[in-house]
Amino acid sequence: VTVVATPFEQAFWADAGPNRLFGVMTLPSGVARGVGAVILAGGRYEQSAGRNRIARRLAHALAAEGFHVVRFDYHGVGDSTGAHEEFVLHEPFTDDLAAAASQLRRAGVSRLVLIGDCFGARTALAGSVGRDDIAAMLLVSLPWRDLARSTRKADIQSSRLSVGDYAKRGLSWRVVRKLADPAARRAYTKLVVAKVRHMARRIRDRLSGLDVPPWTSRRVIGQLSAARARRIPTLILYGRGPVEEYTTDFDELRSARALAWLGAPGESVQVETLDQPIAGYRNIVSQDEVVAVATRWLPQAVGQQQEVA
Amino acid sequence: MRESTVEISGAASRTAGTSQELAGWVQRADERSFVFLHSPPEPVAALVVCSPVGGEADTNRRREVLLARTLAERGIAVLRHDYRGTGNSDGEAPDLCFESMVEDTLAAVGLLSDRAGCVPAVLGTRLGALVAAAAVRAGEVAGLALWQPCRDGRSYYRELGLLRQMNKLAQQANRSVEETRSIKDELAAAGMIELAGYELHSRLYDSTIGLSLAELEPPAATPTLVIEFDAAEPSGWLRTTTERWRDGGVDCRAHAIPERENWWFANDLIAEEGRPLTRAVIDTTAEWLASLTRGTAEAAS
Repeated sequence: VTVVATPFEQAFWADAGPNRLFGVMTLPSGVARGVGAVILAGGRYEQSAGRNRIARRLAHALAAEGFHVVRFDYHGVGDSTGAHEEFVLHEPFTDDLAAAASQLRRAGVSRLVLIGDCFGARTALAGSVGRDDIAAMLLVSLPWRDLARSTRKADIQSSRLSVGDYAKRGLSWRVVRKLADPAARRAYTKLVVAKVRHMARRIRDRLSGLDVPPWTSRRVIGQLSAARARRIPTLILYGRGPVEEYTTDFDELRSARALAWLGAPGESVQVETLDQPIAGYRNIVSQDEVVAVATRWLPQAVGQQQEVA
Repeated sequence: MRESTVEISGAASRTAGTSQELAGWVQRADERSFVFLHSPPEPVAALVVCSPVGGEADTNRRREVLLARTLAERGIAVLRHDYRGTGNSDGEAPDLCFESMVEDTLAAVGLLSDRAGCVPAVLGTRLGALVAAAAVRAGEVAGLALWQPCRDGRSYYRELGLLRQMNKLAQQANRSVEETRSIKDELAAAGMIELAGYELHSRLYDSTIGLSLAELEPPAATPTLVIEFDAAEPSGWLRTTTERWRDGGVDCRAHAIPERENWWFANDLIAEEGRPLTRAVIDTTAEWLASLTRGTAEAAS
């Protein structure tokens, strides 16, 4: 674990619609760059310091590189007010991001870098659209599906199984017997609905000539394409491991002609894959790697973007 | 709330109904402790919260916030704090140990007594329950509440060892059970082990492995509430402990809540607000604190 000198920190409350968000701003411990960094947590109910204090470590490391950094609790999480039932990937908390960004603006920064993991990556990407102050984005475990936690399993499983697999499993005695159980019936219904949706989308995509897998979020394609068109330096980070579902998705996506520009030389959107599991920061080695990548890549990306501007 | 001589730096406050919420850092020697104060206008009682550590702290965090807001609405001041080496406080994880956690809690008790103008009770959860119990023995407090306390250091680390095995299994591609050394052996060799992305250092382990809740008996007459989760009625060891404490003159109540908590892996999925467990534990604790306040008022009149 990298330890840097403790910089000065200031607690804050920020207005995000009807909610008040609690957060911590870390001031630059080196020469200030005039660039702010917003750390966006994944869709979990963790405190603003993050799992194993990764957000705090990241904030201190970036403050040493001259960034103002904010980390905060989403509405309904930690010390913030408000409530929400669950995290839905295609309903990111862009109002929360805007509130955190305003806090940095008030501290005198003119440009922003966004660092988000999973749900936070989707919030960063969605929140970057329409803003002209984004200097760079680091998107960790970016999900390419539009789903809620409650439908996640069904969506992923349905895309991994063929129609034949469905028929074989659906007619098995084990499944038929379980149909008496309402909970099992609900789970099977979710699986069938997800499969039908994917099949319908595949047909539409074939007709329109789009060659991405049917579960691919059109929102993500649109938002990343917008970042690409504006030459915003963007690094997408994935990990390797048995529970790295979003990496598996990305591996499948890579062969799509429509996304051939992703990670191509000279493109502003690049992709790196670490050897460790990274999803949910459930691994200390990968936590340290993310901090290392952020402190290496973000100052460089901000410099590059300034030259382009 | 009264003005205090202890300065809270880097602070931000907001009004929540009739209460104030103030977050900031208190300087202690060369380190700062993060504190979060919930202040009703005229506090009738006060409570210091001792969080668990690691994933359990993240799981419990929102519940502590909801408790604090509920109590503040009822005129009870609450101070939540991050131990040095955890959360938003200064210090690093390797330095965290039982003694520093108790020290931080006693400092929090002092700060809240000063601000609220009354002696606070202390609430501790899981490993924080041992910290709270030790703090009650070391300082002047109005009562002790414990949420799902650890029975002792050994059983706590045995549980963590099992969770660690489960987590490792989930992260392995071949899903095979590899032979692993005990937490103790690994800590002796490496000084640190990992549990679901959280660090556990030998200093914390060494300072807590020999502890037992039964031996941290509160002083006689201390009002004490112990809430056990995932149980229809208090389990055998808890009944034995509370009976022993009652024999020692402690005014002790044990309470069981049947809902279960998945301490290390729960925070991915569920919002606390709608959970029966959270509602039950907050209501039970708030009622108990209100009964202490009534008792104090009756004694005074």
